[in-house]
Amino acid sequence: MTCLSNIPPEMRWKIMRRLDTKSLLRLGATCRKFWGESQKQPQYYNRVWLMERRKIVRLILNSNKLILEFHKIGESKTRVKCVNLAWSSARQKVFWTEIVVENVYDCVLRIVKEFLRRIAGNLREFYCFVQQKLRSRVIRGLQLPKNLRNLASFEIDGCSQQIDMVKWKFVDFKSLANVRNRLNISYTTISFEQLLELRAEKIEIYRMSILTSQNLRDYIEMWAENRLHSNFRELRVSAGKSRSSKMELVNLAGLQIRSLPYGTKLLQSKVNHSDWLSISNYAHFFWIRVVDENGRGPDGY
Amino acid sequence: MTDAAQERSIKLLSSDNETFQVPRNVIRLSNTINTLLQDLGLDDEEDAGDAIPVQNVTSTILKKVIAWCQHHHEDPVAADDSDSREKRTDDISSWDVEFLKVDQGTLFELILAANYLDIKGLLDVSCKTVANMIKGKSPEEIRRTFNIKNDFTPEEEEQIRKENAWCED
Repeated sequence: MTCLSNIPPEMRWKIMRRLDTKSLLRLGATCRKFWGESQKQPQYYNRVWLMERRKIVRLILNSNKLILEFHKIGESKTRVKCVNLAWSSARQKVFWTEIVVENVYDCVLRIVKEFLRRIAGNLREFYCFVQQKLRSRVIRGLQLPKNLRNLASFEIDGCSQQIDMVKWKFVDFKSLANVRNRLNISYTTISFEQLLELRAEKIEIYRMSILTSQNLRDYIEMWAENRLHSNFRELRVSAGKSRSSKMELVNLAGLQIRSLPYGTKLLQSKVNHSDWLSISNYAHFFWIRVVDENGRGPDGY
Repeated sequence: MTDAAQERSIKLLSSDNETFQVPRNVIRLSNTINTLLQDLGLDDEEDAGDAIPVQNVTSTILKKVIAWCQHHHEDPVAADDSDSREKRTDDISSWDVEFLKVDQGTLFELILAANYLDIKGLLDVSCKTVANMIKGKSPEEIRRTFNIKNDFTPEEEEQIRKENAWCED
């Protein structure tokens, strides 16, 4: 008998299009096939409710803005506001927003992904801050050095209880060049969505409060010991204009590279003012930014 | 299309070889048939001629499709729904609700037929009906309704439950 499971996917797509997010997710939770298909639906990203304790936050995506609705249980009114939203149309360069919640679900990232997908045509840099009061310096069993107390992590595959801050930055499209090459797709057709799909299993981004050699060394060692997969191949290092800081990073990275398998490559970004470490393996990309004690990098952000 | 062409009938042949005579202005709702007639230059012929085979549609379903077209043939042309906006599902006419009170097999066959014959209105309303059958149900209820086999491992199911937790309170 013809049924929902054996009609062509494009027919199911037409049905799924008519579902609200909640129903779509529930349908997706019935079997693997529907799970995969449900995640390709626009409404999977469009309207998301974050529910945490007494606070409900609804995030609505429009073409270039993010609206957050706050509703407290027990109150009849829903407060709506646009939170720290900035879009520099003149530079067409920076979009950033700040989302403050008491807990973070992976749907935040999905929203961000959708944002990226929608505005990738113009977007050159992107910042997303998800702030949460740091409850513990212990992150996933890793006791952090005191001077790394602002270390932040973000997991796409679940909510972390220790999130302090998530900060992303895509320096520019040049830094995506090897992604493009690996995918064998043209420069103009790569989207952030595709980029993010590459590392869809997990993203961890670390922020360091103080830039010192020792911190960097600690950090890279921790990263290498705890985070990297065995097929780690490449470490991209860029440390701004300063020759000394660049060399310092290169040297530090070089130390670690020698202990890494498979002849890891060290590349230096040609992008000026870039202060990002980009570490990649076949499946994942990571950007690590080194910032000063105020959380700012050399570019002032 | 000329007035004469509008008034004449078209023969459709179902996959199980049953022939249906359908007024031209009724079957105009099918873009597939429209295109076929125009491409073959049959639109202006007086004689209905040979039946057009509708190979993917059985007589039972074709009969339903024709009945739907008969009822809706004077409706305005449906708007394009290719955009990604969320669709309403609560705007089904009472006639269509009654019309689509059929078993699931028939409902999905109607969807396939509407898609094959490119009848936008019928496709839209039948998809909405299925969407309404999904809405408000838990994953388990959806499985029962549509006889879906749960092929997740317990770990995967737990993972999905966690991922969906934010919308389940």
